[in-house]
Amino acid sequence: MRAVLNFLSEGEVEQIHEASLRILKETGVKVCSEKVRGLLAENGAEVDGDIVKIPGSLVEEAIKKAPKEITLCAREPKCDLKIPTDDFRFLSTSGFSPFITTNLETGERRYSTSSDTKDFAIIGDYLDTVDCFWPTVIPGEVSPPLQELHSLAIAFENNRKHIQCSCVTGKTAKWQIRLAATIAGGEEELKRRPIFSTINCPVAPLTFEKDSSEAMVTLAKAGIPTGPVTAVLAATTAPATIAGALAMGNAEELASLVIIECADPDAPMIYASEVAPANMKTGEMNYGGPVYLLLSAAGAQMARFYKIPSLAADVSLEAAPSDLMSFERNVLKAAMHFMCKSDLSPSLGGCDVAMSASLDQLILDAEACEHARAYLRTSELNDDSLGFDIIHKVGPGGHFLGEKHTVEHFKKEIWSRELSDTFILDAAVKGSFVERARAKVKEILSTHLPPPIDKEVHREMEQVLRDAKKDILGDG
Amino acid sequence: MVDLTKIKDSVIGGEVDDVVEMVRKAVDEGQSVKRILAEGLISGMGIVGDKYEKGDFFLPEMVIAATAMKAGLKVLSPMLKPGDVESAGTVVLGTAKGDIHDIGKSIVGTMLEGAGFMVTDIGVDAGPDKFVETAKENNADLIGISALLTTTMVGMEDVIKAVKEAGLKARVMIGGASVTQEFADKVGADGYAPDAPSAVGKAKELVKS
Ligand code: B12
Repeated sequence: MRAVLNFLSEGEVEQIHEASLRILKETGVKVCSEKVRGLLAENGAEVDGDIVKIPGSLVEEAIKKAPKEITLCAREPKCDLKIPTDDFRFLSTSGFSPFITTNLETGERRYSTSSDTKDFAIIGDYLDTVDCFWPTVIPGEVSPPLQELHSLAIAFENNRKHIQCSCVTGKTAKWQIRLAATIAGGEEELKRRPIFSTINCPVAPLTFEKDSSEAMVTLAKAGIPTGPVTAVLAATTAPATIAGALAMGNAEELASLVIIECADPDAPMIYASEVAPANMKTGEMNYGGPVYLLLSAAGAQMARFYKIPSLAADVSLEAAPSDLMSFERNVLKAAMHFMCKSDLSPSLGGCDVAMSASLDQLILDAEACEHARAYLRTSELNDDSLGFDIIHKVGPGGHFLGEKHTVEHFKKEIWSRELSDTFILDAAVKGSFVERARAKVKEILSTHLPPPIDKEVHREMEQVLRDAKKDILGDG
Repeated sequence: MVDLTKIKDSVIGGEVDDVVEMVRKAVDEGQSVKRILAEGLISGMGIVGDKYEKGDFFLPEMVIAATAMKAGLKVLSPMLKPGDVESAGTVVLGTAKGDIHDIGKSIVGTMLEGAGFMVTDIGVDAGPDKFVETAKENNADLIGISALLTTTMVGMEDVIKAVKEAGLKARVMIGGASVTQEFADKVGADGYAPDAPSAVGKAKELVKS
């Protein structure tokens, strides 16, 4: 017994699938890379200018080829994540934000730098709640074309878990692979144990950029799992109807899968659905409301239908609790998202619709997630738990308080911690939620030191960064 | 005779075909082009703007009304004499090189149109040359650049330099979620605005000064 939130019936899942196949066959996708168009044409897609129409058979074949199990490996093998998971899903931090919020109460923020990226990595390493690390803020002082590569380097140096990183050009992909290979012990070994994966967004509606799609191909060939996050916004970049947005988002995900499987038939892909409603007043992505939740549930269902591991139901709480009531709201919201059965969910620590992130928020989100886990608890169903014997024994009119059956089971089955209990925050520290989180951040940063990377490997990484700089920026 | 308030209502309702048909008819009947524009199209869009501000209208309604207005304007444009259009100014708008984030820029464009600006949207992934050329062609008063990525916002500086080198009169306004006033000052932009409504205010200010 475990709570799962479904939005689509079985028949509706199939209808969405059929609709996506029809979109891919009749409308097609725009692929801006000649190389990638060539690859798709070779495999039987119909190319007309930059529009690629993908027949259903090619999609079905890609679904068949797609690995059904992926191990997101980590620098430290005990942190490996096997997906799909039947257990509780894996959580990651939010990612790639240009700002860091330095004061949650006032919302004060500034552009982030490498040292902020490092702080997030250290706290992400410390927190058990965080299973997978997204470089949360970007190293802003680094030259822009090198930022994605440097984020990955900073993450590897300061965090032992699986790293999921943005990668928008083929060159960045090449150098991220080389960088990770220094740690994994070569590119073959990296293929066997991918210690990082990437996020490459198709451009809604139905477009694949040149650089980003070429990066997908390079990564697929190297065995690096990719998550094409479809940030499809209903009513701006997709139909305003829930069904239409889902069909289009799913079509983008399937087109990504076709590209990846054509590049390498063993390449792992994470079905990364992020279909969301747009805020109808401002056009912003609206993570907050019930529609996002339902779309997340549907996205996770589509992934399960294809038996492909998934990333969905972004836990973007984005609200610093001011009191126990608002903390409870965050816990409930996280719980509802956890009920959408996906394998990975990002965005702990994010602020301002993913534009910024805060170390204090990361602690508070992790705390809320720990409480929310209770909603995803499992419960056994067997003769003993059904309690025939004890019900018969007590019979009509008695009570169960003093029964051995009760004593044996209550802790596991029905007892839960109070909201005022803490998992991560220090129970002894007094003050507001934000103040307590701030104290925790301070404590972690002054005491926690993730074991450093081997000195020799560190030197190799530095060399890769220097070579990459020459290659990407030129000699000047 | 076509009732100009009907044109206005059709702009408000976003009825593109009706607007085009009525504007054509009104022109054929010999009604004043200037009045069709002012009392039909522009006053309709003004009401749409008010409704949006009050919370009665949402973005899709605003965008479709702007489309209807522009369709009507297209019918009129061959007949318009300089001075007929009391435009708030001419704007060239686009998203910076390497960046494909489209929505914020498009919303800014619509709101500018709603406020009476003539906007040419050059789309996404636009480099300095495209901005400069289009600004020249349209004799633009204002160039608006949008960027959402820290990797692409640095390219805005190249556009600003190119505009200055070409000796254009156009002022440059920048925006997008990763841009701040501080950044705008650093790259020498003439103005910055954090969202679409304030972009309209800023645009008016820049065009006047
Ligand atoms: C939707 C979205 C996408 C969609 C865009 C679809 C489309 N057709 O536009 C897709 C999925 C394609 C996408 C792709 C990517 N994205 Co994106 N995306 C977003 C998201 C969630 C919302 C953007 C949006 O539509 N906002 C709604 C509009 C209305 O708001 P706005 O653009 O800010 O515009 C308002 C103001 O800024 C202002 N304004 C805008 N332009 C202008 C111009 C002027 C002149 C003025 C005065 C004002 C002004 O007025 C507007 C209206 O109020 C943002 C997060 C965010 N909060 O912004 C990330 C975000 C911008 N993306 C991000 C990233 C990393 C990417 C990718 C690199 C991901 C990847 N690994 O592939 C790619 C890059 C592709 C590329 N080359 O550009 C990051 C940027 C981080 C950074 N450090 O720069 C963000 C912040 C999310 C995150 N934290 O990861 N993305």
